Amino acid sequence: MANERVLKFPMSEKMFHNINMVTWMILAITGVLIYFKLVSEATASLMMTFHIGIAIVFTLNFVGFVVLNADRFFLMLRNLLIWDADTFAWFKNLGGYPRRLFGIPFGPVEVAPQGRFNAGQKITYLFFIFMIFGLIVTGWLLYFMAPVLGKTTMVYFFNFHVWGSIIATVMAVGAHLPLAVINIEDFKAMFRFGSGDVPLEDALHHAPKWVENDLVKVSTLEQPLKAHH
Amino acid sequence: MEATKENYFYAEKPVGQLLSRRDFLKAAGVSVSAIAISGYVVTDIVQKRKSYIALRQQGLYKDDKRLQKINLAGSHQNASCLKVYQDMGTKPMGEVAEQLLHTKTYVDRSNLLMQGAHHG
Repeated sequence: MANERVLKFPMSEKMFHNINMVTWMILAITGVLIYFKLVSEATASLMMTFHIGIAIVFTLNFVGFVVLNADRFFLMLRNLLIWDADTFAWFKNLGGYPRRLFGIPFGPVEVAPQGRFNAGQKITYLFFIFMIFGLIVTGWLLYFMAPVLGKTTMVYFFNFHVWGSIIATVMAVGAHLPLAVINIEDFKAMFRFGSGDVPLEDALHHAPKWVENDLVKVSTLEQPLKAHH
Repeated sequence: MEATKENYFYAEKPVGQLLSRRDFLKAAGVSVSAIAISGYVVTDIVQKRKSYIALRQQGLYKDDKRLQKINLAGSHQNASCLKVYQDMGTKPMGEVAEQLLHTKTYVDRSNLLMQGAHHG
């Protein structure tokens, strides 16, 4: 058990996540600098060129993941759209995080067993995917179709683009990142070079239903080594 | 043999086994809805805007036709304007008209801007 590990993030998901993260942050920083006029006009113009250039990478990364890894994308959506009794029960104590992190005795001590994603992750990731899609659509419409759509629509799209991305960035930096650091095995699996695996104990602790229902033993100890070399 | 970081012994079952027909329809439904709804919204906006432009165009043509009937298809045919030119002894684009009516340099009129007067 001590040495047993679970592949949590296949390479395709790591690539999508990490390119998405880097490009998102560059887009957020350049966007904020331009929108809040924190730089001179000439610099803002240069920032906008960066913003558009990076947006191409951001868009291709998402579209590429959805098209080339349609099976993983569908599996992710399937995992995010499973809302059973245990998912709802998670809200009774918010996964035990208030108790664990801040010592607040909120709800029952026992956490309802979760699948690949817990209820909080399901809401957050569904929102992130919605925002990625929405920002790509509104961003390119703002860039290419301003004269066709008219002023009122452009203002709506612009506000969605600006404030939607700010809210999502605050959620990513204020909640998603700290929680990922707390669940350090997930963090290491996502960011280390190579296989995105976590200890089986860790997977059993956070996602017992996932381990029970969705996993399969793929090899003995020696086999992956042989496969690697 | 000691396990290395690169080793894993459990992985998700093949997607085909995990994704039931119901799961597939749910995921596909959400994806297609997202594309269809945003596609519909954008197309609808563009179509409406095109219809506004067509209506405006129709109105302008209607106005043109109405004015053409009374020989007022352009501002240079306006009787009052013609009288002004006649009184000044010039014609549209004439020397005097150009001196009097055409702006040659930018004149800063920002002092004429309303400065937020308070009405008591």
